Amino acid sequence: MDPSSSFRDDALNDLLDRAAAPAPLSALMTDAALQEATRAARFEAARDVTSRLGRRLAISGVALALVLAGTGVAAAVTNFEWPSWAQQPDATMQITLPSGAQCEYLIGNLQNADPEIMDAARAFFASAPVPTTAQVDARVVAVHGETLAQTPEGDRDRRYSSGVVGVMADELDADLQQHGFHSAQRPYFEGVITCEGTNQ
Amino acid sequence: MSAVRRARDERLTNALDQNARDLLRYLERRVGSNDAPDALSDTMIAAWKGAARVPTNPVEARMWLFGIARNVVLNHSRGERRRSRLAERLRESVGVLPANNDAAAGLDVLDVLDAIQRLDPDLSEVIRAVHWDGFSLAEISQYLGLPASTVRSRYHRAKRELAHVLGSQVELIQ
Repeated sequence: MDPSSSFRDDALNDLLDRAAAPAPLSALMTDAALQEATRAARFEAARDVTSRLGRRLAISGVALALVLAGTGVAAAVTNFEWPSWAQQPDATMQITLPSGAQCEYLIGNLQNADPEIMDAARAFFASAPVPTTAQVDARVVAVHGETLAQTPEGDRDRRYSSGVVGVMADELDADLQQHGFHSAQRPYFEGVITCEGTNQ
Repeated sequence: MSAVRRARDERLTNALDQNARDLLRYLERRVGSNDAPDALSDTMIAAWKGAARVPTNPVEARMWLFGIARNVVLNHSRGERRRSRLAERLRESVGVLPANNDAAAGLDVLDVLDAIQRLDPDLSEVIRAVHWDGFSLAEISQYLGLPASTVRSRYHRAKRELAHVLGSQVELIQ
């Protein structure tokens, strides 16, 4: 090969390397946000596949780490296999959706590398009160900009369910902070709701 | 859940965790920072929908994910965009991005970007993948699903065309 040709090729390579388009988003995104996105996508995919068959309403707590920025909570209607952790949930509560459907809400599969945070979170869920309708409504307003009463009827149950887990997440954050932890250390958790009489 | 499915889901979770940032960078450099969260969301959801096909080899799984991302980019360029809640959360987890610094880039860089943009899309993809993403030609052939010889040929053709267009700049920096 002509040495000058090789030299020109090196120069061209250098130009092309230096022209790499900036990617500030990927530089700034936290590992936690990306990991949570992976898990939220799993539930979104399940919802897309099975929503027309859905009888169980599953709330993905996996997206909750991202709620810290004040955004909504993912709600996925799925028929994915009943999770094994649901046999021994960390919290069980009864809620009534706006449609009147009676639901059992299970929370579990807590995951965090810090055993002290895990203990604090388990203790919280073991005694956490069921969010009130007013709390849930406030959460829905914060996320969607309208109350449950203003929400289209077909979306009310889902927003309410998401609101419940959102309130729980906020309460957990506050509880962790009282115990000296940062809310960003909130453990990953999942929730599943089984409802009677819902058309979700 | 069966052991097979659990292992498969764990494999995909690991693959996405290990490659999410690279995927986001890849997408950001092709569709821009504004649309990259949607593209990443679409890529991840498509990967989960096709979880049964995730390769067992981590390197092959990585290339499989980039193949999905490439298809998302192609759909994006066809105007098939959608705003997802997942993407909104990703955006808000970062907050306000620094202003686009294209204006601050040197004229030579803008010329190079323009020259790449003007290439046939099949050629520009190979150039971006090699020089921006650090892929080898073999890796590119994997995620594009093309013979290595085809990728090699596209790369050399792209380089020839770029050398012709950018000739004066190449001479200048020697």
